[in-house]
Amino acid sequence: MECEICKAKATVHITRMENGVKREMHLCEKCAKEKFGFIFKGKIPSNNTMKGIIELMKDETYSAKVSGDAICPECGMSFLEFSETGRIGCPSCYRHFSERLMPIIQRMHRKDKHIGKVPKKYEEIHHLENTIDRCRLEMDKAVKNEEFERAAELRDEIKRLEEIQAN
Amino acid sequence: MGKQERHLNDTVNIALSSRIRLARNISAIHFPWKMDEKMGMQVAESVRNAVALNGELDRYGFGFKFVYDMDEEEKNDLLANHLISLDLIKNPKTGGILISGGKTVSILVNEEDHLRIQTLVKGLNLDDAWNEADSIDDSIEENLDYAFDGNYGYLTACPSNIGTGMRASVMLHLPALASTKYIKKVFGITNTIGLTVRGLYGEGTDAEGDIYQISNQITTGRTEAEIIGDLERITKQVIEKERKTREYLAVKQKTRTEDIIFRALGILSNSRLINRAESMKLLSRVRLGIDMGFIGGVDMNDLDILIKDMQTMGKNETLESAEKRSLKTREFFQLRR
Repeated sequence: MECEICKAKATVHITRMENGVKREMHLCEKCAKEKFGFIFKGKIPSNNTMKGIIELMKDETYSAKVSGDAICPECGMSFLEFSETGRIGCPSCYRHFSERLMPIIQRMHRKDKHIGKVPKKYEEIHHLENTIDRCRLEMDKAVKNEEFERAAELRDEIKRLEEIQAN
Repeated sequence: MGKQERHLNDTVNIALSSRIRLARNISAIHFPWKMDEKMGMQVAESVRNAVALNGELDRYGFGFKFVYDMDEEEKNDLLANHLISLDLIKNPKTGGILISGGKTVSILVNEEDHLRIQTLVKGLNLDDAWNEADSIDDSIEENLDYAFDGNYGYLTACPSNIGTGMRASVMLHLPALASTKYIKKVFGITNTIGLTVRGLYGEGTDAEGDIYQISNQITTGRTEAEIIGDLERITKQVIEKERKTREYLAVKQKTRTEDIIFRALGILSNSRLINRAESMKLLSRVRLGIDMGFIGGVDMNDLDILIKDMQTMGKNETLESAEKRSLKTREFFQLRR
């Protein structure tokens, strides 16, 4: 497809609403940059739905990332399967396919970091983890400074916290 | 009966209901489409226990039912009341639902996600719906480990729900807008700001009876309050547009509008056979007629119950069902007028 302005190869495809009418534009990267000052890479899914994801995955920008045979060790879902169904197999997939999923989530929601509600339990776990980390650093420091009594105190505290964590 | 004076920001009769849906999953368990039956039963058991164990939830009087235990009539009734979804029905083996005594709160089990907490309130009132869903979510969480990630937020089977896992939606009756080309404009505008307009039963369904649903598409990178705030703002604008269009119809196209409304009333009061699509189309016009003050003697709440009844009667089109429908509408209107 040719760029509507300079007839070079059109690589940027834009669909926009103009006075309530859907209009499609096909431009090369250079003209798109000149006209809009920025470039969309790939297509923005028209709908944040499973269908939207499948559409998005068909986009060439993503097809390169889809190839490969990565499989989630937890549930056995392959990334290819996700690209075909638009569904994730299990919670671990998010960690396992993080690099590939992040840009997709970013594209769909314009952002990727959750800033909303946090489960109370998670807040506690998060706090516990941070406290243990801090105690470890302090303990290392105490050992270095040969404050063995303090180090032993901290060791016991870490042990106590880890027991809580295990439960 | 004279025309009722209405303010342009009057949401009554247009905003039918507000709904919050929270998608939640249990940590370390495959999402429903990847589960076997045994896992599915485990999830159902865990959710029921988590609800039963929390005294805070007693006041809802939740009752549990598997999809396979429901007959067609019950499914249609729950669908018409938006308590269950078509997706849940597609999982008859392990799909289930917890419904509150008052039928305003439901927790879907093993639909697309392990849990979907849904709250429904009348009119435009997303805040109340959110507060209720939020507090139920807190209570369930006490006895259930949610799949949650510090960066991603609540983990969901489809990345379109990731983060807050929240879908806020408002159901709107927009017969006047739907009769103009503005409705397409409304779709366009909402799409550009991360909201979407859909038909009565969600994704991919028709706007049967001119009933539309506006909801958020973006679920992450924003707080629940921000998402709800945006949705409410846009909803109010759409309502204002609907009011303005109704005003236009009442003033500039009075006779034509009255004709359409009274023809609808005539068919509903006299026909002998009526299918679902036609009944919904005509009831929508009558509903508009009541709001605009053309039709008197019919209570809006009663009419809404009749509309629900029409939906509950299912989608099967037989001669019997068409007869049953028309008998129902005929009786309804002849009794009142």
